[in-house]
Amino acid sequence: MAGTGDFEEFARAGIPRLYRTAWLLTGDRHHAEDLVQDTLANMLKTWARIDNPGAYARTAMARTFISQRRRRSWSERPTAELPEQVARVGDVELRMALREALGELAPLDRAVLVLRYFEDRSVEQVALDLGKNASAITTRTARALDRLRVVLGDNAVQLIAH
Amino acid sequence: MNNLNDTLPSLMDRATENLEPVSTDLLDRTVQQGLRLRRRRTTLLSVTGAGAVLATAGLVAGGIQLLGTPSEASVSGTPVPIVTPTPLAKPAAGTPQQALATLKRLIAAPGRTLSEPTVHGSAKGGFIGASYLVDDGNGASLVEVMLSADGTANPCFGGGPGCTTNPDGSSMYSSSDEPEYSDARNEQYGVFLNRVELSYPDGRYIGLVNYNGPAEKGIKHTRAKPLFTAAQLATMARSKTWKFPAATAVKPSTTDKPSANRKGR
Repeated sequence: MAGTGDFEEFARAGIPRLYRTAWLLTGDRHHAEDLVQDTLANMLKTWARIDNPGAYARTAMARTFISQRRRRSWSERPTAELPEQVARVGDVELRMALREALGELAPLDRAVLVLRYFEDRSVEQVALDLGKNASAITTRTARALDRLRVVLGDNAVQLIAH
Repeated sequence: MNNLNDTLPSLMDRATENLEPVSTDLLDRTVQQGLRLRRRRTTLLSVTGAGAVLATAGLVAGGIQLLGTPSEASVSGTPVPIVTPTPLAKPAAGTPQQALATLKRLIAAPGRTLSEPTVHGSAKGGFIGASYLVDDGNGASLVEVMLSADGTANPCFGGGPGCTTNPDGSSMYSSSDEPEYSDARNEQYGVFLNRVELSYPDGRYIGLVNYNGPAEKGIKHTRAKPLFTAAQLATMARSKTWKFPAATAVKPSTTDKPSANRKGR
């Protein structure tokens, strides 16, 4: 694997965080792995030309997720999933509730929320990431949050209080 | 719950703080897939570059022949090979809706029900695709088609297993009963697929995939085998009724759309 040393170093360090982002996007562990793999493999293809791998990976992952959803590859909803390596019972409830709630959103809205609130990207950065204008991102953010409030309902208070 | 925008970062963080990839070989698989993509891209660019050189050589040789005299040609004693530049992909205006209509015509038959039509891509984007669920009474079977015209999707550069070259210069990749996953997930879902990929010398590409279930991933299979054999898919691929999208220039992409080709999981 000559010539992949830098990439492997980046990937090894970045996979845990990318995997968490991917899980929030897909709501499924296996799909999250596939998304991480696709994203990083495409980065390796053009590794020499990537200036900021961290930012590139976030953008590429969000775009790959939306593109794959459009292609209908992942149209299925995740089924029951056993919790893994969970420290607290509250985490399981939170994870399941958040997965269900995010699953109610359109892929683009989901990507917007993950980039805005998990990756801590600005509206302008998310707009650039997803190829939209800033006002569209603002609108989608508000709409997605409204939807989350409805879906989470009373559970939200309990989840936050945990 | 008015402060969701304030608490959502914390919720997301807590919900994922203990999540780790299940597979221990994720990095290895990623590197292997990336290297495959890199090799494919390198080969493609080499072939494209060589094609340009040959085309230029052909034009120069043609010019020499036009300008030269017959006697000069005979003096040289060596025939100058004239390389005819491969024409670029014909301008076409295939749309996802046209792909869907063509797919429907090719797969429809008495006793089959078609449902859940989908389209994706765009002529402007360089690729188009469509899919249907087909049920012949023995279980739903997803059929997908992908068309492009920029030559980037040919899986048969350099030949390889499953590739055949046709008299018209096109190459056909064919695969049967290919497992969707290469790990334990295939025991869980049991998804297999038949696939053909037809690539023309001018860069046009059509790929047809048929699964033994209603989805590519994450749903258990509904039938023992895909509805259509690879041979039947190949016949569909060769149909002259497909409308391809316009060719787009081969250039490195910063967004790197996922390839239509399968990759090891």
